[in-house]
Amino acid sequence: MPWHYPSAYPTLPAMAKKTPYLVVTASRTDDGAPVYFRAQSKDWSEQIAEASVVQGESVADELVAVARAQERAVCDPYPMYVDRAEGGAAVPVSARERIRSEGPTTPLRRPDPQS
Amino acid sequence: MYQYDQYDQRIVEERSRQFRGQVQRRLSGEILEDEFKPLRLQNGLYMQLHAYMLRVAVPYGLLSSTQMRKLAHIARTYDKGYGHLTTRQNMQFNWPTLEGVANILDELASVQMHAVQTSGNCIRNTTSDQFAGVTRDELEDPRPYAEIIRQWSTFHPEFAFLPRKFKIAVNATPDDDRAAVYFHDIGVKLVENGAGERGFEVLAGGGLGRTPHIGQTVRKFLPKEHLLSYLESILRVYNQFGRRDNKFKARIKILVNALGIEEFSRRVEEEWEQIKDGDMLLPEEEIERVKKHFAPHAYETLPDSDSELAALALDKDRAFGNWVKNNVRPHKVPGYASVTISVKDKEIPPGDLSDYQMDQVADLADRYSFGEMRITHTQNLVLADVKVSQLRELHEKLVAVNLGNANANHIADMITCPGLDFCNLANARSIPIGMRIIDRFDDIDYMNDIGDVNLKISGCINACGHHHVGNIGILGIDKQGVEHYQLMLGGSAGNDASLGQIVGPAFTQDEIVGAVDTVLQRYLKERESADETFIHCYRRVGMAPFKEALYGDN
Amino acid sequence: MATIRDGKIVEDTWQHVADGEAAPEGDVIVTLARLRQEGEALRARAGKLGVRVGSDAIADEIGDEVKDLALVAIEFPKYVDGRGYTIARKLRDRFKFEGELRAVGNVLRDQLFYMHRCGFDAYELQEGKDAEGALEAFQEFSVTYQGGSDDPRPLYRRR
Ligand code: SF4
Repeated sequence: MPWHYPSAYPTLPAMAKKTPYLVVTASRTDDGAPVYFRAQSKDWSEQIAEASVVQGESVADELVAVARAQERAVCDPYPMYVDRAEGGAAVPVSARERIRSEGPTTPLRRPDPQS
Repeated sequence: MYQYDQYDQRIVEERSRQFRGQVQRRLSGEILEDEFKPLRLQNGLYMQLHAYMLRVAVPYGLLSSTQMRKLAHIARTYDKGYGHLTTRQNMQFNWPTLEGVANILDELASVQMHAVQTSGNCIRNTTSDQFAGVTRDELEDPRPYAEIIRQWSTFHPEFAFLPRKFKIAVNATPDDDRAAVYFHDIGVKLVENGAGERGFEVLAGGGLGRTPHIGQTVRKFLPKEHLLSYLESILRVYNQFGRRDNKFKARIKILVNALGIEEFSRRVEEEWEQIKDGDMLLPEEEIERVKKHFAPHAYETLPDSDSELAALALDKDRAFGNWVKNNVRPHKVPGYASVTISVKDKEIPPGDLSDYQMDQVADLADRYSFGEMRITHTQNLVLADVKVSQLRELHEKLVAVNLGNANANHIADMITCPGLDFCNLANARSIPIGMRIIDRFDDIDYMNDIGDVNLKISGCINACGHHHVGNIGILGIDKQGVEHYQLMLGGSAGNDASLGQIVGPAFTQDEIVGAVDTVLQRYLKERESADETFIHCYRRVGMAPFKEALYGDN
Repeated sequence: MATIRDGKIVEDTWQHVADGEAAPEGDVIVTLARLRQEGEALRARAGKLGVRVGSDAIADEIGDEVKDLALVAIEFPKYVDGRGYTIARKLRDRFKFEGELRAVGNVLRDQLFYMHRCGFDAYELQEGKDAEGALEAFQEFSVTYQGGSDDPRPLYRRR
């Protein structure tokens, strides 16, 4: 295949855990970019690896409430499920959030012909 | 094409200023997303997975070369160097910043363009036949009426907050419906009554989405001067009685079906009786004023070229011959032809054009087609007025910019929605599936053997890729977190409108491309002759053989 | 909350009266249900009388009942609920309502221009919103394509 097409975003046995990991994400107002909430500094990072990971839906909801105070900077904060890769960094569970954090899986622009 | 006068121009400039103010209020925090969302949506500005997306209105798909160059400039300056053609004949940009959008609107206004009502629960871009004005099979050019509707619907104060989005299409071809009027909230068909007078047949309640419906006739014949009052009456009935409690039941098709077409029509007619003879009556002069903008180009007088076209299709340069056969159609003026530029290629998402390609196409339009081009609802471009004698030259130049593919109306010429690569609502990716299918059917002889067939892919049940009306339709679904694809057969959007049926259990992304091939190979075995297209064959033999080919006996 | 009338911020003399609450002195706005029950008594009072209708009201059904009142307030429960625009137009155009037509509820700056075109002349702007800024909304467009209750002539009769 001439383009990047990960044919299997592995599906993690969804939500089996009793207290799943979550991070809070939103779209940045300035440019719509996906950003992730850092609880300590109460700000947003483009890197999901820098997001604050919490355990359990109710804790995540509290974090969303804190994040909501930032609604000039971002739009519609919501919690999303993640898994923890080695080293503890958050990896989104759903294909949607994987694509959202990594970018489209398709080529973006045809290079101009060489001449 | 329609040229703005001072009034039209003032409206887009004032709109641009207004939107800049709205953006500033959002950026300053005076309003938050809740309040800003409906405002940005009235202006074609969505929030997608990775960024904002701006949809620029291209009324009935018609663009001048100046406008196309402006779109190229916008792609280069405010986006990532490309744009995407949509099924409503518009162009959208996937990566603008909020501040950038305010500037883009100024740029657009400078070439008589805008993004008004390209999203939101209002009246959207009115679409029409991509071959309007040049095709032999039309009663008259439908674009003046589409333009009249565009003006009436632009900032219509009463209908800015409808229960749901609202789409209108106009066609004027009795035998071949390329505007899919049966699948619009309102379909307007130019017709002739028994007395030889021209008017409109008005349909309502068509649409795709979760519950597809074929539009029904509200009025068989409407004299032209009543066009706007009649549309206003339908919208009024819808605005009052359309459901607002459930967004999945809010389209007019649900209302039309709940009331029944007779009761719905009765309410429309009752409303119309009250307003039909008022100020909305369309004077003949207004129709003429708009029509003048669509007067035929200064064509040269040339000998008839039908036999020449037929000969070119057999040219020994097969790349050119196939292109003439598949992408070129006869024009109503002798010596001219209409060219479909395929924007379907295995290297790049279907419907994507780079800024470089846009500039090139603009130049080619200037050189070969009176400086105009059209966007089709199948996410291609059309140069409508090319001299037959210049086809070979044009083809060479298109090939040089990767736009010379000979796959129009064939399996590789699909519609795909943005799907999970961009869209917030998606269940599954559509673009990569589309690209894989184009790759699979890369062999032009195989594709030609299969002949006319259309494939439509949606990444979720909202059906932006029109999968219900694809001869072959693919619908992305989410099966326990894994992207899967349902295959549908037998849909058609034309005069013989029909909805596709699901064949059986969904396929994985690794299986779906092979499944499409299996269906087409079975078709090649089943068809009576090469003249029997896929859809006709399907209608004759039914689902069973295809089901068997896909799933075996059990 | 600021009240805007005829493009200006005004002192509001009207009082909304809830059902079951006694009508005070002065100009009052009551619900449609109350108007239907106590219409005669209410009309006999010294102050002016207005009615408040929901966005689900059908103009053709209520037009005759309300057309002679001094004020009709139309509710916008959410500003994306656009039924009030049609109610307004029909009261103005069909029932020739000449009193004050007032938008109440989730009324925000960016609706004002449309509301004005549909025949509203007064607006109770949502609490906490910048009323001075909102007045600009009436000036944002100097051209309109279609007719409205403000001017029934489409642009093609004015071009
Ligand atoms: S069909 Fe679904 S996935 Fe595709 S663009 Fe529409 S909403 Fe998005």
